[in-house]
Amino acid sequence: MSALAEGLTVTIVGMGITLIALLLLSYILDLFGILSKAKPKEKPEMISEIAEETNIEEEEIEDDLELIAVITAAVAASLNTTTDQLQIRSFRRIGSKGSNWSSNAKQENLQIIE
Amino acid sequence: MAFIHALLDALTGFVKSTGFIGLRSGNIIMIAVALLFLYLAIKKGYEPLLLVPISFGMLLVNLPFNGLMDKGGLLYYLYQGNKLGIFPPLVFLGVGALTDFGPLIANPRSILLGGAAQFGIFFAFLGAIVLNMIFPGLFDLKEAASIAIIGGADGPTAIFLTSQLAPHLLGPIAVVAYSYMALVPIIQPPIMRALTTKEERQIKMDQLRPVSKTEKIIFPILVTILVVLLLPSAAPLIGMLMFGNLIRECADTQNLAQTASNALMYSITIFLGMTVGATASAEAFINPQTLGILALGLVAFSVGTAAGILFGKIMCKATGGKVNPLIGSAGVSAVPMAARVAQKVGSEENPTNFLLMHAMGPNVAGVIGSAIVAGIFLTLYGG
Repeated sequence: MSALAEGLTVTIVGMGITLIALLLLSYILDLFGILSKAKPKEKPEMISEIAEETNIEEEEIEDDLELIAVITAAVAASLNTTTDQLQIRSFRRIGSKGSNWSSNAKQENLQIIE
Repeated sequence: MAFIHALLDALTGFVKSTGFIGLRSGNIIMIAVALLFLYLAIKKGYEPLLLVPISFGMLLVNLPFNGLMDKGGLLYYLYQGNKLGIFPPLVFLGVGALTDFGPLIANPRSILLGGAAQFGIFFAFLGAIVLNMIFPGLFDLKEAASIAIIGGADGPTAIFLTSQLAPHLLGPIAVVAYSYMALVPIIQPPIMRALTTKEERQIKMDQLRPVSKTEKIIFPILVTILVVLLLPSAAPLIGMLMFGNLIRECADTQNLAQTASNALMYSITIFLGMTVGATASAEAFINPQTLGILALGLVAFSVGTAAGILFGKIMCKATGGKVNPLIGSAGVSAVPMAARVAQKVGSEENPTNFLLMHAMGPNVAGVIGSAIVAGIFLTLYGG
């Protein structure tokens, strides 16, 4: 019976120490949040209408949601903000459906410029 | 005639030196177990990076007369890295270099879920004590603590604590811990569904705020100071984990982080896995204790999951429904599997619900939590 009593004590003390340590940590992390908010980095809600160059085919409608998510994330990253600050209203495909020859030539030109 | 006699002598000598003569039924069972684990690891993909070395070590040590684990044998010397508590903290170094603590920093309260899920450890600890009362002499308190830590769902922590408190149980405990970790996607979902309502599972959580590089660099330093001051015995695990994370976040130490999380970690994993498997000799494995470990390990995992979920429900109520209780189950560590399970169960109810990043917070907090619990057990029963 004494072993069980010891076990219960260890359980209560052990869980207590674990939770207190983590609670302390979480309060300190709150300070992080406050400090990062203190910086004037807040941006107003942005609504972008951005046309992105994509290679999507028209019939792949079900992939659009995923594509929008990817575009939102990319735009958010480049604007240094989060995706919930953005809303993609529309996007359309740019660029011709030209032959492989022309796209290849385009890429070669780009490489020369670089 | 003398020539034939000498030849026969040589032949009998050779036959007696082969392992076939020394094979006992225990060895044959263990070889079969090793082959089964090899099959599960290679064919079914159950934690192959660990179970392949472990089961191969198990296979080797059960082939008689090779002396690999006797003093002077190859695996005996490699095993010292486990016995002296060197390998597991080095694995933690690599884990730290792979872990992004961003989700945790962005949602500080989620760290508590990583603490709540550690209740599974203590529940299994009590379970081991109760089993010992039913079957006197089955487990002493050191063994009970080593078995209970399986509920931390953290291989290196379990191996570290067991090597310090009950090294003779290292084989069964490591094998059971890694097997259950591989089974997390099967063990957790029924418990998660049973303890939550459909509405709770559908809760969408607010997007996490972006975390700056400075915060990510300060975090490991701060955790180290705080936790190691509070619990010095957790220093090997927490210290290495946080050091690994620091070199990950500093721009100029990328080469160190690369080495720690790749070359070094995988080298250590080979040594650690093979020598842990090599402790699973027939005598160490085929006994009633292994059955107890198997049962208590499952209890620890299940109760840990349940405790995380229940604490998640409390947080859900306290925040007015902003926290999805499912992320609590990720508090048992098993990074990143448990977080993926939370994501999967959540998206079953609502395909547009993305809980993964929210679950990563409790998930990595669970690693810190189980290292703290290991430190508590070491303080109480070590030395």
